Amino acid sequence: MDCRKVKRLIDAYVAGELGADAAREVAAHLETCAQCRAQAAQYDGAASALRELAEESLTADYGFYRSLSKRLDRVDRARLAKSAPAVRWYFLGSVAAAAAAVLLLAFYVIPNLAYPPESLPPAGNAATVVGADAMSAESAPGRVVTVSNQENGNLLDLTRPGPFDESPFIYFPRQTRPASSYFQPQGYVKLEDYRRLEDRLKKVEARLEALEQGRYSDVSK
Amino acid sequence: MAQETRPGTGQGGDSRTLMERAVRGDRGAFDILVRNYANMVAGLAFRLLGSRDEALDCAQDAFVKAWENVERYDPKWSVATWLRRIVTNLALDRLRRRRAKADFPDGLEAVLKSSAEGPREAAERRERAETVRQLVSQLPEKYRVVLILRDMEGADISEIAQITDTNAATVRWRLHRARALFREKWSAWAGRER
Repeated sequence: MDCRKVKRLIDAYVAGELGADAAREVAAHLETCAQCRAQAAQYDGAASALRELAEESLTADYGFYRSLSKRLDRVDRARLAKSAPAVRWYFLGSVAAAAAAVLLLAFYVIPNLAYPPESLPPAGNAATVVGADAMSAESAPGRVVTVSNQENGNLLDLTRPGPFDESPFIYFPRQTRPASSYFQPQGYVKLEDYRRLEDRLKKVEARLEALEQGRYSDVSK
Repeated sequence: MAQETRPGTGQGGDSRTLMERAVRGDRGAFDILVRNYANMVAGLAFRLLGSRDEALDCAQDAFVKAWENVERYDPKWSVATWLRRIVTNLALDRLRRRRAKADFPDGLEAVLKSSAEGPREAAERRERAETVRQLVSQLPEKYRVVLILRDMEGADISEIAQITDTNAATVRWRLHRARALFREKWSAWAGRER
């Protein structure tokens, strides 16, 4: 390898960027050429100075992390606030859907649940209740009838105002459609089923209230 | 050193996996990345800016910006390269603003003054380091960035091309010029010292 070629490669040689073969050739030349060796020494001095500076490190301390964490928290809060309208509409939509589902269940699905055809009352008959002696309210064809039998505390009366924490149950008019297996075949709905539904509605309402009051952390609970 | 915080070598698992989780909004994963790369990011900022306090501020800015734009992270980049690019751009912005305000960081005099208090050898080393930093800071920006990334940070040519938004050939040429310019300055300074 001649001096001209070596001079072009000294830079990379000093930086350790040459391949093994080329590096060997340059090293061999430097052993025999004082002029190139002087140039390599000059290059190496500058490169060493840079390397020395590279060894200086800057260590992030506890204060750095604490301060940075606060700044990142602010980014998170800003991001959440930005997305709040979307969250609000999402939950408002959920609430509306849940309310619609409750209304549909209360005023259409449950009243239209059918008894098995063989248990249909005679035409024109107002209604049939569970336990003839339990009936205390007036009835009309196709309407809900209230029965106040304390022994039937596991059944629910949707017509009563206030919480359903007592014994009444609901009676549904007979229809000719097949009965849903989810409900009692004679048109009653289990109190525990209704309470589950009611609890869910309360939770949705609580979330809506939290949203309206800006308590976003409570919304996700 | 930068090598300690290369992808996959820090705590909390592989950097790409952590980054994937961060992109999905996992702040915990991002916090681990911060721990793994804080020294690398702060070190690069320090080499570019020459001031420790400003470098730490810049490093914080870089992580905040990274978290703000985390969903725009491109998986074809390594996490280290992505962070280096962010901190490089922020540091260069600061340098431009500083130049506009003619506001210089803690200079050579300050270092020399403080160095008188320590052991002589340490003082000499600090003086030399500060001199090198000053000489590097005198290089044109495009050469300075390439020189710092390659000869101090150990980034490879393709990574530097990504960070500086150029190609490998341009990086090689700039690196060649940067080293030559630095050598000139270094030789001149060393000649004066003798």
